[in-house]
Amino acid sequence: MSKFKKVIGVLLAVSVLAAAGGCGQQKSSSSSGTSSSTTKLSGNLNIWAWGADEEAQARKDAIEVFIKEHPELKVTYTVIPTADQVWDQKASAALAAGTAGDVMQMSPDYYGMNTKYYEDLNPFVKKDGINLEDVITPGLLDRYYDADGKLEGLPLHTNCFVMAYNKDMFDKFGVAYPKEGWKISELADWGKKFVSGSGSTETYAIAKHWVMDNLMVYAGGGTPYSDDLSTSNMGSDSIVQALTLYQKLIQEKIMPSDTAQKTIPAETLFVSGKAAMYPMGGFEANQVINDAEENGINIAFTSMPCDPNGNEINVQYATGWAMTTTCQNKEAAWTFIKESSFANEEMGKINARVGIPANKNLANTIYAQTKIGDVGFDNTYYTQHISKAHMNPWGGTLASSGNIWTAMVQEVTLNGKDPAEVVKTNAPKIAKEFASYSFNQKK
Amino acid sequence: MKRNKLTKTELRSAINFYAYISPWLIGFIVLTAYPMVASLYLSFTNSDMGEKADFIGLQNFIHAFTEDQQFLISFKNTLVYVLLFVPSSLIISFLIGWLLSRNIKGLGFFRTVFYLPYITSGVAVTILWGWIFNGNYGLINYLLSLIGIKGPDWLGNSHTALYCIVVMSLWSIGNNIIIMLAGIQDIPKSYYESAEIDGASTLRQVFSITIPLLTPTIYFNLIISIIGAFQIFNQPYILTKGGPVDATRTVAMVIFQNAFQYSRMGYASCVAWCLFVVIMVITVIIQQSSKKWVFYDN
Repeated sequence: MSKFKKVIGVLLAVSVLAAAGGCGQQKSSSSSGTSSSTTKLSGNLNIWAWGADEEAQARKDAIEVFIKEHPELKVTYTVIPTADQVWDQKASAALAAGTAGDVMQMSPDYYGMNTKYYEDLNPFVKKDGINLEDVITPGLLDRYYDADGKLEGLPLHTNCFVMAYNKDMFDKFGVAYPKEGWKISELADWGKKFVSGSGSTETYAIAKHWVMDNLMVYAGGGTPYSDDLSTSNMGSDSIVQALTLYQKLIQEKIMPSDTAQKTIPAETLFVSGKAAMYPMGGFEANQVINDAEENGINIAFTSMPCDPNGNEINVQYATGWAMTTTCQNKEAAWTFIKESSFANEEMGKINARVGIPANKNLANTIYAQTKIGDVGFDNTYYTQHISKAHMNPWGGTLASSGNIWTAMVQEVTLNGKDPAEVVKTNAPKIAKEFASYSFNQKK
Repeated sequence: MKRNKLTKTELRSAINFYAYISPWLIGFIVLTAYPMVASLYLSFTNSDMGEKADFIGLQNFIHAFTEDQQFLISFKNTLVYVLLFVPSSLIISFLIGWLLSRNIKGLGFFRTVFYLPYITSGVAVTILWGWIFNGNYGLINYLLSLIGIKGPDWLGNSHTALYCIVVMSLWSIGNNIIIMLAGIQDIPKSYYESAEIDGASTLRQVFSITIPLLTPTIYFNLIISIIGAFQIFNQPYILTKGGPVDATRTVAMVIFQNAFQYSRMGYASCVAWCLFVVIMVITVIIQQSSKKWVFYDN
């Protein structure tokens, strides 16, 4: 009997060791080694994410990794498109009704729009004893703190732009390739050389990517508003200069108008050899380069253009995660946000497919070294330029001002109105919008 | 006076009555009445979809009619759209309905063809029309180019964009056509036979028999079309996003934008109520005038 007890004892000891070994193995595969939680998570976790195409797939794949690594936790998730304000509509209604997910996708370019629905993540960071600067890619974190120091979310990834150009078209039209530091104002001169054909054979110097309105607001060398968002600068001379240039580019067909390519996506215009340049976002690099290669278009890359002061005009679109105040499983939500952002290498690698990941190690290694296609392009283009990029200027709270800017652009580019007059009429409206924003009413 | 007690049968009948109507009643209270009352309240507040909802009296309404240029422009655009779309849709649906009531070959095919756009996805139809109106690659400009005319950028021009949306909307009036057709077929044949014996031409029959006896149907279509036209949203939202330069921005878009883009639920409710009142007033005026121009067979 005692022999039998010994055998059972040995078996139990072996099984305990095996289980412990198993746990250890799981931890090492799921963690970046910085701060992954060893606590077994349970209960429910509901995640709301945004995304389309490649980004949506990356989001799903990363969440699936998290689900596999936390089998006791019941995770439900939904990926909602951002196009046509579908996300804004659903998220704002759900946040207000208290029926949003425990974890919500967010961006600092919402400029505090939904902050009141988000938990301050500072206590969670403090409890885990994490120094975020050690683990998060430089330049990605600051915008997640609001003016009061609240950490309203953690970054997931971010994207900026590089200028892709069609070497064949530059050769054909006898124009020198653009070099690092080229100026947007010069485009009005040499861009004209690309203008040819009519109707479906029309060619342009640059495609009108959807980001163009946001880039052009900086083209005169100024900024649309003060850094602390307290005052609008939209009545300044630099805005008049920006609109004057924009008008020239569109009216002389150096760039197609919004509506001229309404049913032909800007990317198609570029990869079909009808536009010589294309501002290529990190989120679309794979597709653009592959499409260009398939169509036999010989492309190369350079920096985004500079303003008259020599500052690069680039815009970044950041994506992060926030924990809602109605979250019922804060421990699981925090673990997900943390792992998604920097503490899970597998999830980080998936994020790196669609942007500069928040995980510092991966941003400098796997992401930066990723080569796309056979055109000599790797992601260092993005990592080198991200620090020069402005945050998307008209997101979230500032969308009402952004819509006025869009109308200003249309007035000068489509209706041919005098830029100075348009600025004179519309700048007071934007100033009024700025005064009405909740963060300025607090001051 | 002592109230009579309900008999068992009456009580059961009353219970049955409320039980049967309860799904509709609950649906109406929860999904229509309550949101209406809530939005009326919100229209007098500065609600931002969060906790903030301070009562601000008529400030939203004053802002809408005195300061908000976008609201005023959108109202003008919506009115122009209604004035163009509603009469056109009534005339076209009557003409097609009348043609479809004639004894012609392939009638079933034509009825299907005209009804098909109505049941096709609105988004798909709108995108298709976007291609047709495209300045560079569009079908219309291609056809114009065959006769040497360079067509404009239809949707990119603030003078033509709204008209394009009216034309596009007219493509999907299959439902109006079917209602007109049903109304025409409901007119007793004996009237036409008598008119023919008296020597009335086809045109005379249309003006003296068909149109007068169709007025109840026209009246119904008129009301429904006006309500629908004032709420126009999908086509301009998908095709032009309200541009160029607000030329196609409609009231429904202003409501959506304020509610879901700017989170100004109080102001969005105010605009929604303004739209509701306008539709209500026009409907009442038409209803009152109908006594003079709607004729019933009996």
